[in-house]
Amino acid sequence: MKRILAIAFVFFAILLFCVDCAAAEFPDEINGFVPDGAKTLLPDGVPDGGFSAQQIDIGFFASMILRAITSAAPDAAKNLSVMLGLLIISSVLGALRGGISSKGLSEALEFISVLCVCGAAFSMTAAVFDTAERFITDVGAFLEGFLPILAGLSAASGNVAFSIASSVSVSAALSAVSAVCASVAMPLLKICFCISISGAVCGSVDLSGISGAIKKLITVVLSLSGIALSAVMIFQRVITKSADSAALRGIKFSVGTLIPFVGNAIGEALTTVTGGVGVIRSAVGISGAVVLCAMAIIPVASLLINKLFLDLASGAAGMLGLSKEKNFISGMSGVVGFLCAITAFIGVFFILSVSLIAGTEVSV
Amino acid sequence: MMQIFGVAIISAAAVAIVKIYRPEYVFPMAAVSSTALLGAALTAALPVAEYASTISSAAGFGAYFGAIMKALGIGLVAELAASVCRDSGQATLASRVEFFAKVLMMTVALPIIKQIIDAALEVVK
Repeated sequence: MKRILAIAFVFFAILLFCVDCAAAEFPDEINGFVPDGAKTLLPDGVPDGGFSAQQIDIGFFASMILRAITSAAPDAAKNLSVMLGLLIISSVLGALRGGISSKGLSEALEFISVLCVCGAAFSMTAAVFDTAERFITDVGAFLEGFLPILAGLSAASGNVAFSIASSVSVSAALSAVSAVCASVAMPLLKICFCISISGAVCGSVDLSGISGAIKKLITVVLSLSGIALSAVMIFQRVITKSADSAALRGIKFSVGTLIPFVGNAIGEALTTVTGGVGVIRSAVGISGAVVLCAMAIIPVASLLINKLFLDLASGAAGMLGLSKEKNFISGMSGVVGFLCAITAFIGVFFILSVSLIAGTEVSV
Repeated sequence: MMQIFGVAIISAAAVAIVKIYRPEYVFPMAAVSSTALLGAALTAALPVAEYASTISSAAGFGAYFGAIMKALGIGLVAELAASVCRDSGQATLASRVEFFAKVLMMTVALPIIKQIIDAALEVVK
């Protein structure tokens, strides 16, 4: 939970410090890649046209989070109420079970009771995987359309080498993260999810060790992927920034010396033009980061609310003396927490990448 | 409520008296009394069960509630039958009754097990 909170904090901290832009024009072609849910969270003008820096402040992010939470809360609350209802019935059944002297019959009744609670919880929570998978697909579709435009603007503002390197590396990172999530993290989490029900129903079998090992594996895989991809992007930025700066100075010098009379004026105009395009690039980049933020907030809020309600249900099961149900719901809550961490990781990673491309200035 | 307690006390007293004069009638009398008391208890619980069933259907967990109530019903009836069998000295029959009750409970749980497996397959797919 602390890790999730830390990721969420970094996620919003980055966005709060990345909003220094005057106005943006968002390409119409990209609008189609922005999911409808995310569009409702965006301020007027994003992504359809211009927006001002005044619109993007703490209040904006607070209202975005609030809207995401209020849209996700009713379904999660319904699931919680159903689960609480079943837990109460299960508890009453537990009290009635005391009247049955036969141990075998009592165990069979307990089994059915646990099965019903787990079945209901399992069916309700299975939908969270769709939420996370849809987010990964949506981010991929959005970045595929958005990156070439941002890279083009970056190149036009003088960062030719960086735009090529960064667009290639972000595309590669997108493929790598999608592949890691789709082929490693999600299947492992799904297995974990299924193991939790086996552990609850077959009470004598303790499968928590396997779940723990799977969770550790996911953490290691995602951490290594994140570190490797971030390191590549930062190194590229350092190297290509110097190369771009040298290239632009060379062009300016050549223009100044080769073109008679107006060479110096053209050289200065070049600086102004690249600076102007840089402003547009920053604004479009930040607009894209805001869209990515809106896209990420919906699943993160939904998963966090689901996790919170599962924790509440687990606490209620503990209070009612239903230890098996409590362990099962806690296990599911852990899986949802991991899913939330993966979603937040992807969101933060690509917001950082887009911000990095948008914020790179070349000195002339 | 008082009638039920009265019937239970009178039955116990009657069984104790009959046991002295006609011991062969003790088992049928005890069996009938136990069944009547269980029937009365279930009848008393019926409005509560109906109300809970209505609420659970409205809340969307009617199927689970139905399964739990069926299993509970099977358990209580099987417990009564097994006790009666044990009282008559038929321990083997009592254990067979309990086994049959467990099989019936598994049959009741089968749709839920199927639903969970389907959901798991859907998730893993």
